[in-house]
Amino acid sequence: MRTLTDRYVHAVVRRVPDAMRPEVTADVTAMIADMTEARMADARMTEARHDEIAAATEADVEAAVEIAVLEELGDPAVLAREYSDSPQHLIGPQYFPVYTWLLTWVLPVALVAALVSNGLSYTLSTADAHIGGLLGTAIGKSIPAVFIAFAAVTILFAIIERATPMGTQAGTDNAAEQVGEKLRPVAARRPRWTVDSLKEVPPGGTSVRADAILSLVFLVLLALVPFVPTTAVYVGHLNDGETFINPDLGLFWLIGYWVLLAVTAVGAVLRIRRRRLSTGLVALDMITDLVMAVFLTIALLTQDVLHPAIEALTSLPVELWAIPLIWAITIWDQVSTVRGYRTHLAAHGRS
Amino acid sequence: MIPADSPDPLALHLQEVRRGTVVLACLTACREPQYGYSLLDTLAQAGVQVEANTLYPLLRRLDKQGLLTAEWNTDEPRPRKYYTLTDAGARIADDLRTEWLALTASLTALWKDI
Repeated sequence: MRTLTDRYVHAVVRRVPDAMRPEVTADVTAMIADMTEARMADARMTEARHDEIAAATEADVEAAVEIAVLEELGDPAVLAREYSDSPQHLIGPQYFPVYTWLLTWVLPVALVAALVSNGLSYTLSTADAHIGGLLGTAIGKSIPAVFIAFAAVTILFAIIERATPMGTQAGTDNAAEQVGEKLRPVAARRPRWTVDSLKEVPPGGTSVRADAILSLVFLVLLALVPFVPTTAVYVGHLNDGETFINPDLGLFWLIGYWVLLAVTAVGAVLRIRRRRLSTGLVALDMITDLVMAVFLTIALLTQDVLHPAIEALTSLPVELWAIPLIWAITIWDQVSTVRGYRTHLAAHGRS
Repeated sequence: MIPADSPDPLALHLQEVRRGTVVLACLTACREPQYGYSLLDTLAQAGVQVEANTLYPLLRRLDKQGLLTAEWNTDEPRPRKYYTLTDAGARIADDLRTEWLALTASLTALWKDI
């Protein structure tokens, strides 16, 4: 007869943290015992009134009462959640905006990086490479990379969520926790928000600045591309660990590439300093991107951009996949820039 | 028009309104030492609707926050955990009660205006 209650208590306790178990066991056991006792008293009174004692034995009544009590307490998982102090969500409202913002950056970048590296390794390692195989291999191998990036960002934020003490997070809707909020010393609370913060950072400034800082990071990485050695993707044996880019490529092309990156970087620095977008800055960004795409297309069509040792090995000319990729990225970037600027204007007006 | 798959808005809002008041009701009732079921009974008789599966965990949280103290009483046939209001809990209860009265006054005033 005790087994139902025991099983219920076990079902609750195994879902709460170890440290809480003895206490929760005692608590839930006492709760069930108290409720059963009260119900039994009620049942006896009802029976005495109706003179039905003969119909049901004491044990039958107790079994029925036990079931009624446990069903009233409901799902053990829900009760365990009431007892647990740990958050019941992966990423809470405090970090959710940063999380989604970072994902919109990380996922496309991971996709492009994976497409390029997988495309390269396919063309270099396959004897009779063709465009269908290139697309299939590059896309097939890049999808897992995007999932890994997604999982990495999610896990990172889930850890941050759990590493932050409960009371310092905003947006808790638990009445008891709000009472706790009052108890904590004033100094431990967040600094009071004043309108002064508005003057320091115009609305939208944070995201404009964060976007610009991130583009600066990528610009530096792009600037380093000509120096990337073949050893970086384990094909160093192909050209004795020299760069992917042809060392004899005219200085004009390298300098042109860096100048265009530098112009884009100037735009990013201006966005960081002004903390808002303007038509001029957006136009500069879009025009340099277009010029870069045209520049790279011409370079790929007229020059031996790849290292000759590598070029000799690829059965699929680099321009065949690199040019469509460059234009796809450029068009995607132009569209997202225009859309971002429209959202910015809608939210903050023209500057 | 309420979408069929959304929860009943009345039930949802009633739950929200009650959630905050249960804490105040618990603190007020625990001026006298109470164990879980006696408190449930006291609250039910006073007309405060709360389920056992909400109340017991809530008592434990209020204990952890220092608003109630808990003590196991082993003199009775079955050990029972008695909760008593602490000084800190009494101050919070006072503040909450003031807020509650102010809210009642505000709502009464609003109700009259329209």
